[in-house]
Order: sequence, then C-alpha cells, then structure tokens
Amino acid sequence: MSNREAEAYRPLFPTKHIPIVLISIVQAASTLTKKTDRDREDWITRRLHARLIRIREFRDGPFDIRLQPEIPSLDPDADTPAGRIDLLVSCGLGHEVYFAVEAKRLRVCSSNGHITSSGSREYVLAGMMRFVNGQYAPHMEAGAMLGYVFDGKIDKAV
Amino acid sequence: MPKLLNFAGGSNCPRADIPVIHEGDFLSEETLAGETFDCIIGNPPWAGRQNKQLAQKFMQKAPLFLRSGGTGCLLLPSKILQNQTDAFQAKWLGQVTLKRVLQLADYSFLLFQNALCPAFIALFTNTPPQPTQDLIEFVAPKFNRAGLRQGIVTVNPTNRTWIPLGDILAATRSKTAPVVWKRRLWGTPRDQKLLDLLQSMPSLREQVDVLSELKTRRSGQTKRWVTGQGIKPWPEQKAESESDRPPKRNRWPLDTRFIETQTWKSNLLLLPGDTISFEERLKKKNYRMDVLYSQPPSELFQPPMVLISQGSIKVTFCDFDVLFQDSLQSISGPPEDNDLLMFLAAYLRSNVAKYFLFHTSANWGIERDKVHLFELLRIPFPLPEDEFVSPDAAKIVSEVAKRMKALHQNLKDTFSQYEQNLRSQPLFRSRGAKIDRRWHEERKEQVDAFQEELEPLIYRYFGLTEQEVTLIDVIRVFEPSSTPTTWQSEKTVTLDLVEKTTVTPYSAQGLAAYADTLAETLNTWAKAEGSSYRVSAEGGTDEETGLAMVTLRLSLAETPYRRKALSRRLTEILKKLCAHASKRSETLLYERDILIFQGKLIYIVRPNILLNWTRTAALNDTARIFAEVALAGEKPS
Repeated sequence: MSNREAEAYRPLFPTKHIPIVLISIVQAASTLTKKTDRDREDWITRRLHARLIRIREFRDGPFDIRLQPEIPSLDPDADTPAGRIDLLVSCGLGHEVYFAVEAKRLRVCSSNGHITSSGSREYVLAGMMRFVNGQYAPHMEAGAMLGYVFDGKIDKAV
Repeated sequence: MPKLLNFAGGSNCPRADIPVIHEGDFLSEETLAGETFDCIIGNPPWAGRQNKQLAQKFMQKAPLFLRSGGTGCLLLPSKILQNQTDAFQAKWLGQVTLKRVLQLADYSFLLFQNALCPAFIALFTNTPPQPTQDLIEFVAPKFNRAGLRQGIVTVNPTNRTWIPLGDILAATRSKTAPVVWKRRLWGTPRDQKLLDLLQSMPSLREQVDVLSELKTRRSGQTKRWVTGQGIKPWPEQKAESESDRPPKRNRWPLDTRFIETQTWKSNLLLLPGDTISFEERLKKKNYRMDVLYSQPPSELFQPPMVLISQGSIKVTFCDFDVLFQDSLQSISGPPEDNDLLMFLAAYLRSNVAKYFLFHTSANWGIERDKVHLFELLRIPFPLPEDEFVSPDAAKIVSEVAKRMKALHQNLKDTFSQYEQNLRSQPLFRSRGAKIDRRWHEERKEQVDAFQEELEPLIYRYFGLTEQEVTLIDVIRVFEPSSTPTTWQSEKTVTLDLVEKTTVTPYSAQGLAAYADTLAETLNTWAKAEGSSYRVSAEGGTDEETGLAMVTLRLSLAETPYRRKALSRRLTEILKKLCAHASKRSETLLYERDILIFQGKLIYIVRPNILLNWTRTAALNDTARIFAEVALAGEKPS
C-alpha cells in the first residue's frame, strides 16, 4: 500500500476513548461475581452488560455497548453455536466502527475439584488469536480480552 | 408473432413457440421441476394467519427456483416479520442471504388503496448466509409529502439502518425476533440504548401467571398475580353442537356488577356508576342466564385488579367485584398488593409504558394501536425492592396510591353531585344527557391532569435520566405521525415546520429545542473529559428552500442559542448541496445528512421538518459529532 493510499484510511474507533471503556468495564465488574462454579461465560457477560449500560459513560455518554448473544448454528449437526464476539462498544460512528471485547473463563474448577488449564488455552487460541488473525474485529485497530478468573488468582490466570 | 406463453392446461392448450412465460402452480413439485432462474420477482398471495400465512410458502419455495447466487425480490405482508413467526424466520434466514428489507408500513394506507395490512419488500440472494458477518439493510421510510407528485418515496437518513443477521437469529431463540425488527422502525440509535436498558429490567411477566398457560401446563399459580380473559356468555340463539365445549352453569348472582367494553371510558379508576347488572347485560345482548360458554376462576373478577382492554390499550384500576367479557382481561392480586396494583395501573397508562410498547409491540405504529397480552407482559416492571429502581421506589408507590385514592374519592363525590342534579330534573331528558356529557368531560379532565402529575414520579421510580425522559417525550411526535390514513393527515406532525408546529416544546422554542439539547449534551461530555472547550449554537430556517441550519461554534464559554437569518445565497448553495448529496434509486430518494466541519464551526443542514429537528435527533447528532471531533485529533494509522 502506498503512503498516499495509507493516508486515505482514517482511524476508526477513537483511541483516546479506549481507556474510558476499559475503566468502565473494571468499574462495572467490581460487583460481579460467579453464581456457581459452573457459571457460564455468556451468563456472566450478560450480567456484566446489565451493569455496563447503567454506567454514565454508556447510559448518557457518547458510548453504546452491545451484547452479542450467541447465534444458534445453522448447521443442524453442529454441537456449538456460531461464534461471535461478546461485547461491542460503538461511539456514534455507526455500528461498523467498534471496539470489541471478547470474554473467556479462566481457572475454572473441574468436576473433580481441580483447576483446569483449558481456559487459558481457549483464552489464547479462541480469543487473542482470533483478533490477531482478523477473525474478530477485522479492520479495527484495537480490541480487548476479558478474563473471568474463577478462583480470583489473577497472577496465575494466563 | 411467436407464442411465448406455455399454458398449464395440457394438450388442449396451444404450446408456446418460445416458452418464456409458464403458467403453473408455483407451490407444486411438478412445476418447472429442476429448472432454475437468475431472478424471481413476485407478489405472492397473502392469506392465512401467523405460520399458516400462504406467502411464507412462496418464500420457502423461491430459493429452489433460483440458481446459486440468484436474486429474489418479494412483496410480502409485514406480519411475516412482526407476528409470532420466529421459527419460520430462523429457518428461512438460514436458507437465503437477506440483503434488504424495505418496510412500507408507514405508507400502508397510502400506497395501496384498500390495503388490508402493511407490506414490506424482501430482497435476497440464493447464497448461504454468514450469520456472524451479514448485515441486513433495513429501510423504513416515514411518510413524507416531498416528491409525491413524481411518485417518489423519500428516505430520511434516520430511516435506514443495518441489522446484524446474528441479532435476528439469536432473537428467534427467545421468540423476540419481531421485537428486533420493530425496535428499528421508529427507534433511533439513541432509542436502542434506552430500550436495551428497559429490556434489561425484570418484566411484568415475572410477577404474573397467565391463566391459559397454567391450564395448558396443568400447574397451579406460583406468581403473586394472575391474569386472564373475562367470561364468554352463551347466545340464546346458539344451539349446542358437538364441537362446542359443554356449557358451564352460571354461578354468578345476576345482580353482580358488570362492565361493558363499549361504554368503558378507561378513566384510570372504575366507579360503580360505570357498571350495569349482570342480568341487564345478559338480557340486553340476548345471552342465556343459566349457562356460560366459559367461566374463568372467580379471583379474576375480585379486587384489587387492573383491567386491560385487548385492543387499543386501555387500563383502569378497580376496587370492587366486577364481571367483564373476554374482550377485557384483568391482572388481579391479593389485598395487600392494592397499592402496587394501583401503581401498575397508573404506570401502564404512562409515557414510559407507551414508549416501550410503541417500540416493541407488533401492531402499534404499523397497523393499529393494538397490544397483545404477551407483549404487555414484556413491559419492564421491577418491584420497589429491585436493584434497578430508585432507592425511594417504595415511597413512590405509596405516594401514587395515596394520590389515586384521593382522586377516587373526589370522582365519587363529583359523580354523586351530578346524579343529584339529574334526579332533581327527571323530566328533562335532554338536559340529563348534557349533564352526563359534562360529567364525563370533567372526569376526563381530572384524570388527565392527574396522569400528567404522575409522570415525573414514574420517571423517578425507574431512575430515568434527563436524556431518557427527553427520548420518551418524543413519543408525542412519533406516535400520532405513524401510519397516516390520508395524504393530508394533520396528525403527521413529523412533517410540521419546526417553528409552526403545535407540539411542545417545539411550538414555543422552535429550533432552539434541538440546538440547546445538542449544545448542552456536547458541553456536558466535554466537561466530563476535562476539556476547556465549549460549544454554542445558532440557527435559522428558510421558507423558500425549506431548509433549516444549526451552527455550532467552538469557544471557551457557553452562550445561549441565537436565532440567525440565513442569507439567500447560502441557502441556495445548501439546497444544491442537499440535492447533490441525495441519491435517487428508482422510486426511492435517499436523503443525506449534511454535516460540515470547518475550523471551529460545525454546520448541520436538513429539510425544515420536525422529524429532523427533535431533541431525539439532537441526542443522536451529539454522539456523532463528539466522535468525529475525537477522531479529528488523531492521525491516520
């Protein structure tokens, strides 16, 4: 791409807004807890979203945060629903311009009482890497991963 | 001339020389078996209800006649999107890629004479959909007289949105796909935020058991309240047949009070004087007195209860035993919930409820102002102890109930007074009718004034912000304007010139209502970000070109809105710019918003109609301008 062509591309989601979005997520999540050891990721995200839409920046401010519910798979033989990123923050420039947040569970207790490491693998492969390879948030400059650390040990989470 | 038409009649009919046109049953398996086409355009027959709608069969069959990647375009009844068709929508949207929906509901009584129901046009391709990526262009033009003479339908920029296919498919699972479509009909992006907030609250359904559902499930009542339809009487002329359910013995005393739907004025509080005796009703309508067709449980007819009409939403609170027919339904509860049910009645008549139902119910704003019971039960109704409501919610409920009781007493006293006047002049029947009319007028005045007084309390109960109240208030512009029945309808206030409308606050403030909301919101956001810059607004309209313009000026101090005359030369240039920016696509004219950023000035130019200059429009523009300003400070990556 020539310099001239590169200049024709404009930034999409304003980067100066990203810290505000992240601070708001931390603020909303401060009262968020798992309901059971088997609490599902999409249920937790739904509760987080219900808190986020009440935060001033989202409620009366310039941002709009949308929860993206799971899509039932169109393939009747598929075991899992079609994947979609969990939360999209837009800012008045249409829904095509957004800051994406993908959530994953970490350090979940398995049925035999052990902390599983599968969450970390999923966090990286089915989360971060999807941003890297453009499956999530294509054309967007930045996105975020959010981890629900089930045993609260954040330093051991990933 | 060569014959082009291939008749379906067989050997008796002449064969086509060049078989271009085929006569046949589109739905039959034999018709054009194995043949595919590049394009299918059709106006399939509309018949049947909900999932038995014949047009659905044509939608399902059309992809079979399309080559891979071929295009289909069908004129369909809006009911296919709006009625309880979730399973059908999930299946069909998995078969084809729906590209565009042109929702013509607002023109339904104008485009097609004698139309029985509104229409939409679906444009789709025979390609597998990409549920995580596809966006459906949803175009819902609102009635506009501009361009009518040329047969052009104008599409305002706010009438066009893109709905993620994934949102529709996900909603089909919770049977709310019709709500996703409906929310976009009149709801702007800013409305979507408020509707998300309201939908995140516990709904009325969480408090109410539906009798018919309990009966189907054969389970008992588990929720605090119960709802169901009234009795169905048995007409004297009707003979018992085998297909009928066995008649139920009438166990209601004939002197029980009965409220008739036709005479019900829906004035918040039902008074004994509004009723007649059950016997009088049965005699009047020639119904049998010994049996009924259906006899719902007695708790439906006992106070405290909220009575709701099935058609256009009418709500009243009742504190005495009363019977009613199946066109009404009640929500009844135990005596200790009297105040809460009073509050519910007031709330269901409030602007918040109207706003929510207008944006989410299938028929209101599309066909007629009808709200189904299941739609009404979706309304947000958090209890006073819920975390989502105001901390003083319990006090608000008590306050509303206290005021309603005072109004109730006042109405009873006023009614007694009128009755006394009527008794004192029994010989003058015409005078009696006049007194009756005066009583109803006075009652309506009292109730309307009371409801107006309650609105702020209901906003406070839900903890709504000033912006959210502003959005709700705009329902007074949108609701009367929807689905006009004539080209010259005076109800279409969205087309009023801003400075000439009679709708408050625009009637007094004109463009200032828009401009002040825009400037104040931008300044609030700038302050929150720690910016020392502020904006001030000025604006004006031009009768000749029919345009209005608001200019925002960046400065270090806030100054009040100023009215400013627009120069002739400027408005002529702007008119040309608007025309140049608009795009004509056959009979549709897509208007474009003109926002010009120049140094410390931002110009907003649009046709001078109220739809473009509401306070809701201002809130949507604020977000857009704020983001553009933020981006302007960033270099391309």
